[in-house]
Amino acid sequence: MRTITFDIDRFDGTRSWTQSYAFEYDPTLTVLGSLIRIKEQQDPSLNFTASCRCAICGSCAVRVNGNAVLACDTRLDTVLKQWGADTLHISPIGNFKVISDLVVDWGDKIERLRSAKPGLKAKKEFSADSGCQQSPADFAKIQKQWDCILCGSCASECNKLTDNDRDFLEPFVYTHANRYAQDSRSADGMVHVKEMVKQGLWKCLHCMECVTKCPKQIAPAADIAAMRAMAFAAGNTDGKGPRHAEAFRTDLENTGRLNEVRLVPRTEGLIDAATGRMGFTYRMLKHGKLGALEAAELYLTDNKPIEGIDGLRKIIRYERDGK
Amino acid sequence: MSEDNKDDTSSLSRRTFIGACAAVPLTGAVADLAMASTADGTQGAAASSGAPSTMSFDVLVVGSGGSGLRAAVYAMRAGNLSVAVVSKTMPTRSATCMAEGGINGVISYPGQKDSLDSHAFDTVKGSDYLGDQDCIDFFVEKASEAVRETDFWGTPYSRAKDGRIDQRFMAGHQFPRTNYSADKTGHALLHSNFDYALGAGVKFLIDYQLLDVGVEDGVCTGVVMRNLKTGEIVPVRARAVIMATGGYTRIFWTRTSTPFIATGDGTAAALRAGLPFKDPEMIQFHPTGVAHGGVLITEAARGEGGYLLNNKGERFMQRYAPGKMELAPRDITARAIETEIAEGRGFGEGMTAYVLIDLRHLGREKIIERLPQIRHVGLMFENIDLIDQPLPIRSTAHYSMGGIDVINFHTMETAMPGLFACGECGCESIHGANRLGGNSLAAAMVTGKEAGIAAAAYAAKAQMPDDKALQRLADQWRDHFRENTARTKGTPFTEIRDRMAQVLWDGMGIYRTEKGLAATVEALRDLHAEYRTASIGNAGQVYNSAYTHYIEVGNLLTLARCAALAALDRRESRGAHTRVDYPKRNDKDYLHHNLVSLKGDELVLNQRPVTIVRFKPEERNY
Repeated sequence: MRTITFDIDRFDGTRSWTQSYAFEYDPTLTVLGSLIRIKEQQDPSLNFTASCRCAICGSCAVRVNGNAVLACDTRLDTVLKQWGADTLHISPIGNFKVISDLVVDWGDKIERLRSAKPGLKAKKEFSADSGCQQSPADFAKIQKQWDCILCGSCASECNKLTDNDRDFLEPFVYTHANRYAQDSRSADGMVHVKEMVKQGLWKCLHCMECVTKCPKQIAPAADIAAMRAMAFAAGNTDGKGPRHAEAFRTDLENTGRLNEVRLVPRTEGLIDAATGRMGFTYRMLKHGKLGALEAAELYLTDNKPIEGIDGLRKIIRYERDGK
Repeated sequence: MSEDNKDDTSSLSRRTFIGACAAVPLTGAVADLAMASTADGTQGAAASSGAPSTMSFDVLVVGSGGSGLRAAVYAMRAGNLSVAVVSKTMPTRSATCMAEGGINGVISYPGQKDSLDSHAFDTVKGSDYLGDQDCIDFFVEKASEAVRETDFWGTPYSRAKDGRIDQRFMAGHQFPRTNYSADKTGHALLHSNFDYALGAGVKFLIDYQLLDVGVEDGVCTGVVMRNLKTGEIVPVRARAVIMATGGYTRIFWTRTSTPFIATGDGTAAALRAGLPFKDPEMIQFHPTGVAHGGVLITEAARGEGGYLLNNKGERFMQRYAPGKMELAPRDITARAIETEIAEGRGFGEGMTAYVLIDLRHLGREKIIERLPQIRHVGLMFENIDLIDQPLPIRSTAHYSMGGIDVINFHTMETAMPGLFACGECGCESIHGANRLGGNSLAAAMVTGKEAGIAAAAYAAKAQMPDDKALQRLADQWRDHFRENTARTKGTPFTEIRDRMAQVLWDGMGIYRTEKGLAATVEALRDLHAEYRTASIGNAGQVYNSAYTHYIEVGNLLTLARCAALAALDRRESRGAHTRVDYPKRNDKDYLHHNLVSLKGDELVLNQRPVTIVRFKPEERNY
């Protein structure tokens, strides 16, 4: 008999521990099926949440070996093969307050979602009595964002949230904001964008964990990028985030290469960078990560343009000016 | 209890207090909240003897599916009221999100041939003339409005080329009038209503389980809930309570397509509070669910040309509908599958017996292109790839036509002042003996809105009730928790749940007989008795999901007993209710709603005539 072991992170409100449950291998099981089997055959005190069991309600996201999955939509066989082991570590999704075992608290997450000002404020020509008009192409633009099932997987491994969740929101919140920002029925999509600019839109670290973890193949990072582009287009170019992005574009347009020495002063301003980054610069120099002369040269003379820079400039201009 | 728990309790109380006060309460009734009761049930009685100490809201919505969220939004729009939605999970986990097909509503546009009358007639005919026709007339008009309004509020609908909402055909309708959002209409409606509710400022009390409804002098005074996070049992006063807790097909447990959490908690609480349960025997079955667990295999599988096969490899629909074969209507197909299994031509036995659906002849490309979702469900639940192998399927309970007796379909009010019901948990009756595809989301949107408006109007005039009855009930529930979780011996209650499902599937499933139903009534009575001595296996306070489920199973047992009694008494076949011994509809004796009430532990059955307005009952043929 092949035995599978789930090491499950337990929490009873005060005490935390990891408990091992062994059960007979069964190729028909999903991760959720395995959890139900453990609860009903071994330990009724094990807590987790599940509702629809077919990947549309978003209840059952858990971490398997540190990676968020929808338990109902993940076959046991798949994760056993993925990890090449018959013992798996099951824990609650990350960046959430844990209530008990695998059950997490959505209370404050919903309040954070509220801050995206969800809900459509439709254009004046539309009314509740006659509804709206929208082309199939415009519907297609928002369709993917509407697939979000609020399972929390995107937030689980978000490195920015883990580092500091006071100036950044869960990736799904940006996706929600973007589906109204991009909706052709919206009177003013910028309402949502402006709110998100205030709430960390430029703080995303681009680690792409949200993109890889979404069980619905939504890309919250792309939603963040789309709203940044909207902010830019509407002239919201002030602040470190926009200046950072602009610095990237300037470098690419000039030489095709990133000039990291110029990047910081351009993003933060020369004086702020000089005063605020002294310690950081010193440590870089001390550990040999940065040569003083090379840095000075790079700052003053910039990189040499790459081969084919003209083509790249053409692409950048087309993207920026549309011609 | 530990210090940690105490801290947690008080901080939550403060937060809830602030939440309750943030919305301006009505007529100076300050939302007072000083939860004197503790998380420890043993101290509850002492705590409740003090001054009034309950949370209070002007309008309290129990349940956060499509109808509950819409009710909350409309109660909020009345202005000046504190409105909260209570949910035992995070709000968007409900059955609404599982609806795929669409929402019915006639939309006028150039060249449109459909009409409200036509939608009304199709709904009446679909209901096998058990739907109330005045109610259905109201419903179809409001359904049309609801589609346009949800569009305006942000629901992403699939579009026709000219920019209007696209519509598709559903079985039983004369015109395409089902508005949709790809194959995720319920999900789109639920989430757009949730977003709108967030924007409107609706408060959410998440992880609270409904236990009972408080009643004083026949008036609803609020509810008793259990805070799952702390285990605390709390009375909550409300001028108006809206039940929106969904259906009860979970009585069949592993043979239903609905989510785990839809356990009829509101309907059972309303019954205990003295309200009748209308048409409980009317439960719709879908012909194709996966053999293990009952998740739906949508009609597309047969629509694209899938075969249904028995253990001899025969396309058995030949015997039941030689003309239409696998494309026969839902009820005929469901009965055919059950007959094959009953007559030994299925596979396996008991609750996991099945027949097969075979798509292999469609070819790899067509399956991948047209039926990706069905293939995925096969892989997840049966570890079977439909490209290579046929999939085990069987009929599955899908929708509850019956529900809390709503006595005024304009307001969704019940016979108890202050208590309203909407969505699948209420019975107005729109769907009668059989619901048409696309009418469930429409009913959720329509009844939710009307309940919200009416409850707000009622709350604006009502006094904030006192909490005596609620405190009494809360004490009883604290005792209930202590006594029932203390038991270490007895049958595990999940075993009783599974036996209940088996008894119901065999005796009150797709085919029903006098003998089978009589035996079901008896068996349920015994199971209910055994349930009361069953073991739960967890006595913890914090998020004790075993106890949560124990209460759910108790609710399901109560509702199942009502359904079996009504099914036994309905000696005819109508809509979803198929009596082998009475195969014909009998309008002379049974053109009435069944109303089951609870008196002590005994069930009492009454009748009320169906309202007929324009459409005289005729034979239901398609």
